[in-house]
Amino acid sequence: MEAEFRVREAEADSCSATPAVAAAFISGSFFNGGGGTPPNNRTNDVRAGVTIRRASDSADPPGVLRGTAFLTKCGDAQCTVNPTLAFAALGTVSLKERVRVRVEWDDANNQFVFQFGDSPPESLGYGPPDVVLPAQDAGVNEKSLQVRNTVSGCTGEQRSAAFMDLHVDDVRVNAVP
Amino acid sequence: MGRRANRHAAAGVIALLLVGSATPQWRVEAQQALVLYDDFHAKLIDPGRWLGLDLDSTSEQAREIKGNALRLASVCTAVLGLWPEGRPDRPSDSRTPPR
Repeated sequence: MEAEFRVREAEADSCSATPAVAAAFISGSFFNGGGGTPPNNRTNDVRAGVTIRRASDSADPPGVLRGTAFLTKCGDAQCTVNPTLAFAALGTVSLKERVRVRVEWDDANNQFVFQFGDSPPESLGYGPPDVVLPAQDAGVNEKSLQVRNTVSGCTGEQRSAAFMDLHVDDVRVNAVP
Repeated sequence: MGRRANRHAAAGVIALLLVGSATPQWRVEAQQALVLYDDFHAKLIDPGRWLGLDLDSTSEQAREIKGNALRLASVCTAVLGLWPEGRPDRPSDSRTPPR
């Protein structure tokens, strides 16, 4: 799947050592490695995606966001534990700049392939699972576009805040239902 | 006693999920050509293709079609302590605690 992302605004301010993060995501559960049962048990659902984020502790110039590919696996039924299997930096993008983001499951080679704008494709592999149940048999069969911000707690009169305004266009998939 | 807010960590999520019955096949055979799923040229988000979720009630969120694109926006804040007097300087501060 792929989509065109354009982050119009992003702010992240933290009151503590824990950074605030404003982030956009294109991601989903692609298969289950065994143990998950639809519709609610997400154990061993394998998730992949790309995030475009700005953190309050970023050393980048203002208005620059970073793209990162990630691969995670749910460790419990609710996917509250979801360790990262692999991740890779994809490049940077500026506010208001359009960037096409693509996520592909290349199951024949036990990997996902990610595209971020004009950057070379990046792949992240996973160990061959004992079982590969397709997405419709994953605990939660979803693909999503998200804006997800994280801020830490503060004390006194300080505040943490994170904000993102994302525009998405031309979502493409490899087969129309 | 001043006004008090007690918001610890907060994470906001806006998710548009493909509806199960409309889920395409995701397996890709080496750079397989993709086809358009949604270009958001409608006035409203197509409920047959997308499902909106608010996974965190503590953040302020928006999703809409604007300028032939899907707009997702979210803001969240975390405060523990006394709010300063005066008008909040951020839209995210509009949830002023009860006086």
